[in-house]
Amino acid sequence: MRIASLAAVAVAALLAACDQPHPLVICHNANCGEPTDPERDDTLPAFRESLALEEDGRPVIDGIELDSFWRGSDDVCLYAHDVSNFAENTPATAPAIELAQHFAKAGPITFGDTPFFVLLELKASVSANTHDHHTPAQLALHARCAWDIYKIVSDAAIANHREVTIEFQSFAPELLRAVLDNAPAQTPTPFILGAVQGVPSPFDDQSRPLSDYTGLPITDVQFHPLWMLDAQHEAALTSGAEVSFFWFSTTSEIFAAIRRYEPFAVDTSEARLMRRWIQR
Amino acid sequence: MRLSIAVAILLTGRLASADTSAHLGLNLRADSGAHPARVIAGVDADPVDVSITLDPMVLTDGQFDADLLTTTRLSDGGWGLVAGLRTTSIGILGGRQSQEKLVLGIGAPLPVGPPLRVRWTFEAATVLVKHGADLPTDWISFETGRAFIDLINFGMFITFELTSAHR
Repeated sequence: MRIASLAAVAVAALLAACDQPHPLVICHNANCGEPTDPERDDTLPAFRESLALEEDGRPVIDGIELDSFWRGSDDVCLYAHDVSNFAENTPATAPAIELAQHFAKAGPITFGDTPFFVLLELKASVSANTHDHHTPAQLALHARCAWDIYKIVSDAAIANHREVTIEFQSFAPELLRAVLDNAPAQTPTPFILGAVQGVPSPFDDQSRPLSDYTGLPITDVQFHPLWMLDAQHEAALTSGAEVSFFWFSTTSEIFAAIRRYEPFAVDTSEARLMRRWIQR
Repeated sequence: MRLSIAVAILLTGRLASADTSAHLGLNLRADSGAHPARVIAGVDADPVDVSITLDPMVLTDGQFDADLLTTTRLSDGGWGLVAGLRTTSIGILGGRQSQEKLVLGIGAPLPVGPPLRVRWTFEAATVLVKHGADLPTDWISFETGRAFIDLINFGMFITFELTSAHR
């Protein structure tokens, strides 16, 4: 009897080890073309390729990240990731307009039957210098730009009977406060706020302590899994938020982290690899 | 990897005339660079040790981690320079993706003698190329920090083995 019980426990442990997480697959920087090329982050051609990716006749992705960058030198809101995109001058609303057209097409827009997840990241600097932050006026202008994107996406979702969730996300909590301060009277499409905990200093100086987000209703803390500490993970969960992951290149260490921490969403440029790993 | 195994066999054969010993045991680690428990076997032909590590834990999740490592002794105390390759093969829908890693590190013995052989190693494992499963082959690039920062990972492992060496 004891041997049978031990065998049952061993089988249960083995099955538990085989459990496969099923996070939402978000297309990082709207750049899921293959092979991965960071130079194409936040460009319209890569955005279009990403929406068109299919696996088993369904979209590979469950959502997409759209970045907005407030360029302080001439106060314009751009669809851009960083200074390498500055020559492009694509308005931040451009991908939202194309996303609205995508919603109008027949057929599924996510791999599963989940709401389409639109991750709107508001970039925290206003120039090539990451220490060059928004003025109070620029905070408000950038927030209104984000709401312009929201309205385009939301109107299209309602018109085409699409379930959509929108997340405003930023390394800068003051930008998220500006988003709330500038919210329109009507927000028919659900939205949430997200913090980012990326690669730490000295490799990257954008991440701020979670305590800086105090007072904001953060429901998603997005970590880079290779740099996340267990205590940070626990702190995020204790605050009532869920955890998601972003990264740049998928390695076996990334897969191990997803299995261990089971984020609700993963934000990756290797969307097809991730989808095939999830569905194996 | 096959070429590396062939080179290792030739190297081992060349050194077989030296003072050699065989070893066999477990390769254990706490980080996620590979599965936590694998099987290691090798030949120590002082000053070069060649080992291969295979992965029975593939049965648990379909991921297979195999190492081919050389350790070149640097000091009388047994400190050694570790260099070699790791293949991680990951099961995905429609096939397997392989991640080929260059492993560089340093190792040192723990103070136990034959028939036990215990060594600690600190490693940097760099993914050089990902390929397979009908996905595009993706080589490491150094154009931007984002292109490679995730591909270089550090880890540690300990090997517990039985050795044929005499005290």
